[in-house]
Amino acid sequence: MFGFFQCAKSFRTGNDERVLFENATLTFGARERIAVLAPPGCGKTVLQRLLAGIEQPTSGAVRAPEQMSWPVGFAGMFHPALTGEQNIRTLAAMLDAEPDRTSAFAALFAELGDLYYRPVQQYSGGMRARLAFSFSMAVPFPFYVADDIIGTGDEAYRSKCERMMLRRLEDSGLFFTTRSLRLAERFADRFAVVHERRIVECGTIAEAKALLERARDVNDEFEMVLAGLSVA
Amino acid sequence: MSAVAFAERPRFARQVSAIIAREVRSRYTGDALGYSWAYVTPLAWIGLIYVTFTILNRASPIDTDLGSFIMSGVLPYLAFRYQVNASIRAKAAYRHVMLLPGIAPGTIHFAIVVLEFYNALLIYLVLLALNYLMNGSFEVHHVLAWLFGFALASGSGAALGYAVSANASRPDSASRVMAVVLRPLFYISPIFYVAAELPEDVLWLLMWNPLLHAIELLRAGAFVSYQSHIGTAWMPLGFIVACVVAGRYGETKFSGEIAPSEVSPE
Repeated sequence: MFGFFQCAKSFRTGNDERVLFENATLTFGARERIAVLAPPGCGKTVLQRLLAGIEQPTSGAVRAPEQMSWPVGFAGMFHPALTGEQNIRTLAAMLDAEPDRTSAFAALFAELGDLYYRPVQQYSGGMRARLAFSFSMAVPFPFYVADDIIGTGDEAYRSKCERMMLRRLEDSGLFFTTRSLRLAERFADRFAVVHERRIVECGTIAEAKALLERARDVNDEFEMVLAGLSVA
Repeated sequence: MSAVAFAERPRFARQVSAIIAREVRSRYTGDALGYSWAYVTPLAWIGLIYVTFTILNRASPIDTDLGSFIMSGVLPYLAFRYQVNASIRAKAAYRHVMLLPGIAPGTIHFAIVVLEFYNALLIYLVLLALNYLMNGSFEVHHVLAWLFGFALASGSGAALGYAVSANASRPDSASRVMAVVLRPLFYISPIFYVAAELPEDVLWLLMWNPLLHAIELLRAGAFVSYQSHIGTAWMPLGFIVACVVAGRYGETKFSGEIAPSEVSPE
């Protein structure tokens, strides 16, 4: 089994210590699709970083699947001076994927036309996001990770992205951190909510929805207290 | 590239060649001079020292032309400097690429080192050829000894860059540290003098500089009339080993420090 085993994670900022997780446990199998719901600022990205090994837990243990993707749709690895094609080809070679095949898939799926052969620095944010999502889908992985969103662009293109993601998930697992109940229900078959510094597993999406609303209320109250303090 | 040709190469070689291709394509794009910049910097350094020597009426301390003597000091120093800077730059430039599964920091560093060594060597050979056309002398007497000295200079820079970038929590702090180190290194390395010219007490101190030994060994290989009684390979080799050990320690201690916001998709 993979996941988080009695994990604690805290950050020190100056003299203050912010505790994000305490005794957080969540396990999943290599082919399971699990969504962790949380309001903004409750540690969704930190969970991704812990699973990717970028961050170490303050205590406890994290075990990740060996063949795990990078966050779906992440565009940070593109070099702005290189064309879309050059980026995809070199990154594919680094991943040990076939560059011709990966590039052909990305060119077709991204629907960028001739822009695919232009430097990425000439792309708009939306175009870069299309290229990034296409690259994520071009290289199949036995286990995917996604942070907050799956898909990009207008409704039609987003729907195409979601269909492609579902196709990839036919044979793969998923660890998905999100605040969207719709996306969680669409892509996952197990649900959990970050609540009071723990990961609470829920039996159904309705149960997750109720717990997420409670978590949001707590978060809103916390924000109000902070806002009041800053005004004072 | 055909599918067969791609599959035939071992994975490590495929990754290294992909990183080198990315570096070569991206480094000088969007500039009118393009790759020529690689030659402009050393030519400017050599030109400046040449003019200074001429104004001061100083001759080469070795029995060779002034151009060959200055090249034998400036180019290993630049090879060292390029390696340091490239290693530090790579940590920032590849921090997101390292999110890809199967990409080890060591693979990226190795590719950068190979590219910088090749680049610096190519620049040296082109400038040697240029000097031959201008002065009629091509000063590489013992190729292997010359190459070994050059490799020690380049390797020392690569090892220092690795140690500093692996132990610095942020790439910009590593750059600041190296700016402080690299400037005095220009003066304490035998770039425009030979080690034998130094007073005994100064030499005793500068003997700890690995670049001094690398340049001395390179000159012994390059010039038929020059024999270095000071240069030894053990100092740069020991320096490289110490830096690699320090780098390994830093890599384990500070692995993957990326801000949370940088990992989220746009």
